[in-house]
Amino acid sequence: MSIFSLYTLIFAPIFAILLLFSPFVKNEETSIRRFAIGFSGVQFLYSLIFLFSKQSLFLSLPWIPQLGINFSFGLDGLSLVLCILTTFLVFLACIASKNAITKQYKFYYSMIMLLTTAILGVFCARDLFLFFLFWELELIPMYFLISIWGSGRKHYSAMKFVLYTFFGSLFMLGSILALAYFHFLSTGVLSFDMSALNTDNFHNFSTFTGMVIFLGFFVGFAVKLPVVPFHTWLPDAHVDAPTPVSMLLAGILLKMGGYGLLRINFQLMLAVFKYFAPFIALLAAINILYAAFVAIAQKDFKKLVAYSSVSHMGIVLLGLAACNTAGISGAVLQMVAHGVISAGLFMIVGVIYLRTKTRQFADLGGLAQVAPQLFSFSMIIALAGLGLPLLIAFPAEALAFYGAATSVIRSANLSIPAVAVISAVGIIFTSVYILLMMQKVFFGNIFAKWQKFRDISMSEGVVLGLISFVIVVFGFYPALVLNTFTSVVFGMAK
Amino acid sequence: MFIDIYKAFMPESILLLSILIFTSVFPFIKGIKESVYIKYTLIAVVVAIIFLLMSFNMPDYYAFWGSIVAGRFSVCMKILVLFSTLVSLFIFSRDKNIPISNTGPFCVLLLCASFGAMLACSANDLISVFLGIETLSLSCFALSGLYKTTKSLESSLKYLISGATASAVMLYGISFIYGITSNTNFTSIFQNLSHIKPSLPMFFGIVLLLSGLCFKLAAVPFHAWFADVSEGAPPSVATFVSTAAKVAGIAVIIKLMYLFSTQSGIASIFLSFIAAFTMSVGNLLAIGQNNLRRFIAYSSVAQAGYILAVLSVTTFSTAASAVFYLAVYVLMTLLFWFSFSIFFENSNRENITDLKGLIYSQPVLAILFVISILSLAGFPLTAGFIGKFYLFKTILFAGKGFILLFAFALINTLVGVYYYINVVRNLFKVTDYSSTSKPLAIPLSVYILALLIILFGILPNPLLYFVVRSVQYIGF
Repeated sequence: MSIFSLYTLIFAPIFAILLLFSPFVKNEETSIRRFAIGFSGVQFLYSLIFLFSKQSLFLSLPWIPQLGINFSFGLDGLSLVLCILTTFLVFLACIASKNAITKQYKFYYSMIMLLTTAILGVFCARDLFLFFLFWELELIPMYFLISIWGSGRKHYSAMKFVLYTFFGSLFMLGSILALAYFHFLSTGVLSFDMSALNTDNFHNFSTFTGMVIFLGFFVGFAVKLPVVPFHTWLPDAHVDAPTPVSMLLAGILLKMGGYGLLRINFQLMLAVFKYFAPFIALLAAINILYAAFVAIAQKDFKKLVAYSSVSHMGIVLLGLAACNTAGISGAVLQMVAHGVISAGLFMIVGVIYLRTKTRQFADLGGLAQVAPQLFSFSMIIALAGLGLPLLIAFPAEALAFYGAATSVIRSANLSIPAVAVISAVGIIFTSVYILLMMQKVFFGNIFAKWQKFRDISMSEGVVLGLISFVIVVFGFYPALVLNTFTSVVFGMAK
Repeated sequence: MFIDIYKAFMPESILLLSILIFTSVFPFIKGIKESVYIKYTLIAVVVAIIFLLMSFNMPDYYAFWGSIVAGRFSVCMKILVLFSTLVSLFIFSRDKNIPISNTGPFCVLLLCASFGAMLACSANDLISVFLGIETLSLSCFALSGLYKTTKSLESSLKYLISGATASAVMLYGISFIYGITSNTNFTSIFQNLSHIKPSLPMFFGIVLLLSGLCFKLAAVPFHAWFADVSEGAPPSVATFVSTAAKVAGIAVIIKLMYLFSTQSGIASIFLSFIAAFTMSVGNLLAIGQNNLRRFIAYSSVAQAGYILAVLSVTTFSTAASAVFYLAVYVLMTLLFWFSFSIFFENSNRENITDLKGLIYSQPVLAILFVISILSLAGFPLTAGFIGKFYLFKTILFAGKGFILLFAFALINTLVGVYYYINVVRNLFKVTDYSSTSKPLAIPLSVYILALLIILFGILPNPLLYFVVRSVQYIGF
């Protein structure tokens, strides 16, 4: 595989936008949507090809030499897993847009494509400037996607999303520049290259400075992940975004935070990471427990799913904090698992909302009687969400908790295993809210007005079916995913 | 000597000559059309730009006993000035609110103003700085009153009174510096200062001189006139004042920062305070604005604050990033004002809330607005992103002393994002769908501006190359 295949993967969506606005695509809903589905499907298949390349790809071209910025992309197992997750979910989101989006089709799909490029760019960038550029670029399509096609307080939520992320990314910018500065001081070379900026090679670096830089990155990623004090944008953005966008938001965008923590905080600043690891584990425990409690109390279906995302991302954080192979593998697998599961859950919310125009639990109930297919898919996805064995989230959570419980890192009287034990309680509460959700929506008596509830359509069936397929297959055989990135994780956590 | 004057002063001479012809020949030709004035001015400016471009690679030439220097730096700044002049002229030529009899005065005054700005850019002497800045300001005072409405006249008067005060302050500062160094020529001052210790009079001299210049930049606390001028003056004049006039001021400040670099950072400390205030106050005032003109005025104040922040750090790469951001700022502001003037002349409305649903009724115009605003806010794929990144990099690389200024700049960017996005939000708000009016005719120059912003956002190398070379040889 040549490196240009990687460029093609990342920048093909830009050409898709150009094609979308060219006269080749008729200006009507079906042909635009078919084009988008076809394109993202090809993109997904294309990303699968990279699984067969043996060595990881890397190439850098000079871009802005005056500032030491290179146009460098790389693709190792970790990036590849997340890239495939991205193309997969974008493909599903395009299918799911059928009834959820009712206006401005060309603009909508072009924004989805721009978002794809931005996210793939984040996952593949090997230059911190480039990473930051794509990180910020993702805000523009996301703002429009929420504020134009959303519902409820969409402008407010979109603005909140942008401001929170921007707030975090400013800290990140400060840290990027500071890393480059110290690298410049010690070598006299201005560079933003990730491999060059590994702080283990720095000698002019006081512990305190290291911590400040670390925290700058951490805040940037914590907003995205989200870690609890910074999570308040998430319920708003998820609830007010249209269904396909919520799927992407929960499925991929949150993963950017986890990926950043792993790629930058962990890989570039391992020593500082180990110092902070117990505190990060503590934050993870708060994330898992607090968000689970909040989810139990929700009366809105979509809000519950949103908070479940926060809780599940806590497990990613816990796995990372363990700093060992098991923990990190669990974290990455959990990112994939949560990406698929949360997309599925949001899809279910979307399907129900499309038919009933309500998301309140009080107005729902007994839908299993009228929509058996929807119910069976929901059951698979929801049970995966609570971590049932043989479904995808189980190996992920098991690995993450196992990693945390066996972690040897401790500082300031905080030991990660202890935190892991506390946060494991969260699993119980997870089952509580997931089962409550299923019970309130699908069981019990049905309202007379929902007697004519249509079961899922063809396109919705495809989306839910593919998600369920992935959940079950990788639940049975998680090594399929794990094998792609274990070598990278072994390299990181040695 | 005449060869030197010819080489150093050619572009200015072209403007000067065209002003002379304008005032001495045109009034005596009967039946001359107003559009001829505009074409004539256009040709004069374009010829001057061509001369500037041709002379970019020449070494420094001194003229008029060393009071004028033409080198790469001044050529670069003068190109920016003339570029803004050109766009102001385009905006003016579409403005139907200005009485047609004012075309002649506008063209002459615009030429005078750009002549003054160019003089200030190439000044190598405190007196020529003053001369240039005054020529620029006096022309701008008169230009702001061109509308003959109360607001326009009010803004003109305000500008005149506060501008005259600023000039007096500046002159007072110059007199201090002259008193200490017994020279007004930069080269001699620089040599003298190397063995003069910083003193209280020197402090006054520097602070007063910089205050006077900060007034021209509308830096806080000398910013009060700027919003009024932007609101009252014709859009073409407001464009000129917020681009060319600022370019001239910043060109002078860059030189002064080099000049006073031996004075143990008086200028640097003063300027960093001004910068912090300018960014914060400009941004805070911009949040509450509903009038688009006042909004862009305050946002320009904040943008000038970023440039001042980087100027307070005097190193070689400082000037490069400042000039780079200045060039980007000029492009963004020109694009915003141009789009605004098209919007304004079509609808006669000027509030942010009037932009509601513009994306549905005038998609092209709305996208132009979006490009300029995203660039001002510093989003990727626009030149503003690279500019801000370069700027922040320079401030952080200046070391520990500027970490607070860096934090200020970062926080202000966040505030900026809030109010810039607010405008975008209005553009995309749904109104009634049916009101799709005929698409407005948008001149080619606007597209070029937008394309340049995106081009420099993806491939900033040409501009960077140009800028880095232009600041390479500033010195005395």
